[in-house]
Amino acid sequence: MGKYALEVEGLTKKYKDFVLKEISFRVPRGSIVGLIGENGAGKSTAINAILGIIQKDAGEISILGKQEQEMDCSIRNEIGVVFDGNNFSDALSPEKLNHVFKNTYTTWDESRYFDLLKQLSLPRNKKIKDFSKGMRMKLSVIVALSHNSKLLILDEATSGLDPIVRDDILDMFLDFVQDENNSILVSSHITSDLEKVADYIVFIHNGKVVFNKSKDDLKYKYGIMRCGAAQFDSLDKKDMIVYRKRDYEWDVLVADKSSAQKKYPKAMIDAATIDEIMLLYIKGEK
Amino acid sequence: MKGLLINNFYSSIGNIKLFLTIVLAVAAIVLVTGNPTAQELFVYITITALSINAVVSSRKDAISNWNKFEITMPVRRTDIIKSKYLSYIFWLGVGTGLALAVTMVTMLVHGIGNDIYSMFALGIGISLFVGALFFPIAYLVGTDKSETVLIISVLVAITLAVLILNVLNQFISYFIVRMAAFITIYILFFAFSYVITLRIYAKKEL
Repeated sequence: MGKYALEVEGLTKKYKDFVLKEISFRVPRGSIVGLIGENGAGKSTAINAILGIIQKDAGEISILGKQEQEMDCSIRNEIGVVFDGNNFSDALSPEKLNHVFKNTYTTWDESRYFDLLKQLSLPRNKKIKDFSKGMRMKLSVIVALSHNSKLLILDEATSGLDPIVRDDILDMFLDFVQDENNSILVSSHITSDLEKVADYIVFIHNGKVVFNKSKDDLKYKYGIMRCGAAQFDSLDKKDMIVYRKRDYEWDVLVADKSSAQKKYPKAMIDAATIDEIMLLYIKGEK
Repeated sequence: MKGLLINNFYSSIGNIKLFLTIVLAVAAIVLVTGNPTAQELFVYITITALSINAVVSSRKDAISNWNKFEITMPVRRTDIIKSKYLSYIFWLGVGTGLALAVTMVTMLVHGIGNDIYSMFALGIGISLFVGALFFPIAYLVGTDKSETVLIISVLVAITLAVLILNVLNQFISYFIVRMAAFITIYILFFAFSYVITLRIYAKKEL
């Protein structure tokens, strides 16, 4: 069993108006990796290419220790997938869906499926078309967790949900990775969700990976220095990752806030949220 | 594959009420009047309508994202297409069985009416042509446009079936040989369509 549940190396996909350029990242076993970026950054393209929904133009993908050429469709028994919005035929109920998946996944765990339905108060016999968005997403996550998946791949699974449902779903993710063989790749533009659960953050912007860092590094080491024009001019350029001019001050992203504080004792340096870091990278200058 | 067939079945059964209402209304007229034209129309409508029911669910699958999700399941793309064609044949069989049952009762009540073999050959022929045209075109242009594709497929299928039958009438005088040739053509057409759809879907990006 390898160290990584998912390895992506130089993944490239070209469209007329967009290119996903040689992106690389890994999902270590037992971890949650958050794929962040604004809408249209390339998160879904990357996930669709990993899942084989679209064909990549270049790059290597290895899932659960198997290279593409070694993969047959049986490996998908171990991959749980959740897309944004609905995932299943509207005319079906969770009960009927059980018949479908019982005859599709060789690893389908019927009792776990019904237990999770009960736990999250989802009706067994109501048609999916009558479900709210939150109920649909819960159902999708339940399905992904009911066939002994080792890797969950979720594309915007928490977007458009109220905080309570989002919290329920995030708890399920955390519970899933309690088993150190299980891993999650989750894309989201709601960075606060990933701040709660992710171990690593991969930031994609304009089809390229801008950074791939541990969440703790971003949260506890990165900082935003707030400074005036004179102080900004005196800063060593090597200490700046990106900066952005606001009305009367400059926001400067630094990689190590404690050493920056020692070097510039008069500077005001705040802890940075992932949202702020992402915004600085997108709107700031280098 | 079994799971895909079950999903297709559940998905199609959701529309069946509408189709069955139409079919049973026409069946009542046929049984009461014994009108040969109505009987002929009933056979065509029943066989075609029930098999079309199988393709109507394709659009629903596209809207509900199921067509994207099913690729991520432990099934091959070939199985997905195979399940669509098998579901189509299943509903074609149900429609043919229903049409045959009503036709038999009508014949018993009102005596021998139309040429039953021609009627069913044409009905099944039109239906198979519809499926043979629908699947490759729908997967080529996108199943979200399946309603337009379906209308075009029905119109072309009717024209094609009548045209082929007329051509065969010109060249083959023996009825049985003519029907055998007609049946062979539409089975080959359906099989060819399956191969084409497999190729289209193998590289389809959703």
